[in-house]
Amino acid sequence: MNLGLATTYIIGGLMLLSILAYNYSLFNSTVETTSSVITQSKLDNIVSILQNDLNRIGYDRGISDAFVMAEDSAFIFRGNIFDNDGSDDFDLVEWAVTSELDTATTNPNDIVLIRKWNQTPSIPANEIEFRYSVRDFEVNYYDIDGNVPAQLDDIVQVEVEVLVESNEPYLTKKDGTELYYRSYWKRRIVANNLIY
Amino acid sequence: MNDYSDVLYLTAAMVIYSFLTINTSRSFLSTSETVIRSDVEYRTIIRAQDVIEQVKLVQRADENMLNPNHIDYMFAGYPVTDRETYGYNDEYTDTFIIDASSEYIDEGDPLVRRYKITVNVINEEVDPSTEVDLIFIKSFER
Repeated sequence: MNLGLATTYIIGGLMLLSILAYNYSLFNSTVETTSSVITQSKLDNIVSILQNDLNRIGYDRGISDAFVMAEDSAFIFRGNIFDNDGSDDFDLVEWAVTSELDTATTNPNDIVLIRKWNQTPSIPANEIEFRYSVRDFEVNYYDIDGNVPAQLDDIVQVEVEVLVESNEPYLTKKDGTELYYRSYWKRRIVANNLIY
Repeated sequence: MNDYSDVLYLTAAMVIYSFLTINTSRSFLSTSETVIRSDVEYRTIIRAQDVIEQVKLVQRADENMLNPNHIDYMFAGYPVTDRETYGYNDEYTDTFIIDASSEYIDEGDPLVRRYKITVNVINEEVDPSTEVDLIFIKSFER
């Protein structure tokens, strides 16, 4: 075989391998970046609604108690979530994380976070349910001094932790391990209507 | 002579190809860093907001908590370093340096006393570190 031709094949082959490896790396990087942006956006959506709800706990509730139920995986509260929504009464809102796996995504770690909102609590049929995919959701409650409250009426601060993962893995290792992009939010909110 | 020119062409092509790949890789690295930084900044802002939430809890009877010259001054021990673990199995850690101060705003208003609360939070998990400043005005009716 011609030496020049063989050398050309070797160099060309190396170049081809290099381009393929680069293309693979570029593809992974693109997938990771896209996954991360989508995941952050997913978390941002949940956080926007959650912050609005938490700041409205107890608002316009009249003489009723602010909290109906408060556990580490769920809480139900009274409060007027939106002004000028045509409803004079308070709304009933529930946030609850279930152990139900979310089949809407391919991520096997995703569980369902449910938000139930009823503008007219006297008519249960008006309840609207929203479902979100999360990896973890946890709620802690504190009284005005930062201690664990003895009863629901003592709750002034609500601390929420939300962890979400990308719907799809951004990388699958050779051993089959799938890596998901994670985004996290944790905040302790003092609801204005619970202070006084 | 023809062989030498081929080698030169090939060398030039490889140099150009290398430049292109390096620049593209840099661009992607920069994008990844931006995404990570935005996550870190997100958490840093939350820490500053948490401090302000605690200021919201201060009631009129406890106004001295915002007076830097009083023994009850709530920011006397600041700056503080706070390590926070998070994640499903607490597998991640963030370190925040939180500084806060309060300053009385003398407006000469006999009915209202206002304090300017400045919160500064630094997260050194990324290089360069992420820093957030938040200002909150707390008012007390006399």
